[in-house]
Amino acid sequence: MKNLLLGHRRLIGFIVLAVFFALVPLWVDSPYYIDLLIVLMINAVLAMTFVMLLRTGLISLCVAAFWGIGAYSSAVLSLKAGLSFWACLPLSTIITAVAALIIGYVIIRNAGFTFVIMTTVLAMLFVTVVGNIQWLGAYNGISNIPAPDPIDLGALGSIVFDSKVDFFYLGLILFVIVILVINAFYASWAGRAWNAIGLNPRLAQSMGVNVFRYRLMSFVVGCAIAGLMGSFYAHYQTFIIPTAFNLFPKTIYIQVFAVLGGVGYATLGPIVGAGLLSLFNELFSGFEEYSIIIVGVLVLVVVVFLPRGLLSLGEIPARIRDWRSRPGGGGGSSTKVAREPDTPPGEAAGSGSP
Amino acid sequence: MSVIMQLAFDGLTIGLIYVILAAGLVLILSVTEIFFVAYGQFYMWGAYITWYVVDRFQLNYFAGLAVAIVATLVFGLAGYLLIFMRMQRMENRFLITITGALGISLILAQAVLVVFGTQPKSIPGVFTGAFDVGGVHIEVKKLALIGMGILVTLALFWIYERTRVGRAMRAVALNADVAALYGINPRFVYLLTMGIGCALAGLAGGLLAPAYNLSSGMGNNVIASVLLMTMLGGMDSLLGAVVGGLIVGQILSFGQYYTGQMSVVYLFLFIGLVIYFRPNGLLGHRTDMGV
Repeated sequence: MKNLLLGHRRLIGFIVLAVFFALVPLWVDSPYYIDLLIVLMINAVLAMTFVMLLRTGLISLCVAAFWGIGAYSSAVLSLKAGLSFWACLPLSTIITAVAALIIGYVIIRNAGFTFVIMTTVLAMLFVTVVGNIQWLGAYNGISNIPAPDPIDLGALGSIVFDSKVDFFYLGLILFVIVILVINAFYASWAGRAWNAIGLNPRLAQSMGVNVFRYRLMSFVVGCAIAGLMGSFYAHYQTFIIPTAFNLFPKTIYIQVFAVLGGVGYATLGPIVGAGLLSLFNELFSGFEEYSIIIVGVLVLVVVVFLPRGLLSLGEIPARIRDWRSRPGGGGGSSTKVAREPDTPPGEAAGSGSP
Repeated sequence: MSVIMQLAFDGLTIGLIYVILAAGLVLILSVTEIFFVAYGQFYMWGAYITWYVVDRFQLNYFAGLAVAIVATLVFGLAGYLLIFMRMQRMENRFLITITGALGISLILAQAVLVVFGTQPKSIPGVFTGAFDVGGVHIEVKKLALIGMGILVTLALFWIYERTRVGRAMRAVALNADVAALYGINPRFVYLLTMGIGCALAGLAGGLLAPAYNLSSGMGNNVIASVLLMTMLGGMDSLLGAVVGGLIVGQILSFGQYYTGQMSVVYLFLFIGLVIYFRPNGLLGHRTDMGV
């Protein structure tokens, strides 16, 4: 029994977290905080896609741009083509994936500085391009995006999306699905290939991993997830403006969420980072224009002193134990063997997600 | 015909400012291998400090320029000593240094609003007057910018190619560990490069201040163009920065006139095409930088 519990620690932690989130609206009735939580989930997912690309050695600063492509395609499909949200959601995901495939095919040729620069410029271009197309509402954006159609449950009545709590549950379901999908990818052959590329692209290539193809795959998957969240965001917010998807500050914040929590923790890191930063925004909202400066200083402090993220604080006891057992001779290796069953298969170095 | 000449002249003026900016960024990128996104903010601070000294203390423009250069130099040195020096030996330094630079960028961009306010600023021109040559309207202040741009670029090339410091920079850019074996202190070279790069950004901002208006978004606006230039010319080539800056200056000048704001899109498509066929840029050599 004990072994069973330990073996599925990640899964149990995940279920507990999901249930905890699902129960939040029972004791939080202020729409303001529900809104904060919805935004937090969107931000956490975007940061997760950033981490996903990072696994393959790609630092993408255009996560927000693909989020915006998802939001805009969904808004256009529902307003100009009259489709329902339930059709827009998958369609906009596919549109974003196709866009990512085309763009990624050109810019993933070499990683490193070139890729970062290309994505930086793409992120800025998105705002300029959308802001100059009258058909997309230019800089005024698109408003009056309809809420999702009610779901008819037959005898049980129907779910109508008219309050923030309904959107919260919809967002939570998407959030859980996205986390499961991301973890399924990490556990699959593709995820291992990504990790191998992240560790050493040339070595991975010599082992028969097609580096370009797997990088492109992670780019497309990550951007498609961002597009899915964009569609949800557009229908939740009911209006979108191009500057919301800009590099400054949106993508910067996404990267900051990931790095604050710790990029080694694929799912928990972004959640912790996004949660912490929105908490700080609440705490420092009284300082008004100084709050961004405080956030910047916080980022620098964490990055300089805890480069592996805040969650790496949790590793300190284990490290001390390792360090203590080392002079004993062979003690270090025996503890490692003892801890082996805890890590499920598919878990590669440093990915301690829930 | 005169329109084309006029556009070429304006493109040359802004292109030489871009050359200074791109050269500073190329130095930072190739020697320290830090993806320094905060670079645009240093340019903005250079312009604002020049404005502040000239406007508040009623000092000479050149005094303002000198203060701007010194201040951005000190910012750059402090940034390296406090933040980047600790990061360069870390395992995932590429990501960590980018995040650090983004943090600096957030702080500096917001600090400009807090310190100087949101109103657009301008300072009285130092060089006034204009004359026409063959239908081209040539303003003396733009001519002065061109002169300064050429002077600074030549000085930079002299430092980089002819002096011991420049040789140390090139050695560290090639391989920091081997350079250390030959008695060069890489950390000192990194520090120096960071200082020089940031001072160049401040200088470019200060030079621009009397000719154009200052706004709090100028740092963010310029960084995309500067990054594109370094990529076009090659990220480890100073000559590439010059070529990239001049080409981008012309494209933006003509593009703004004929297509308005969409000119950035055409610029991006053009550079994407160049990068697709020459991944290292026109004059660059290295592909694996930063990874």
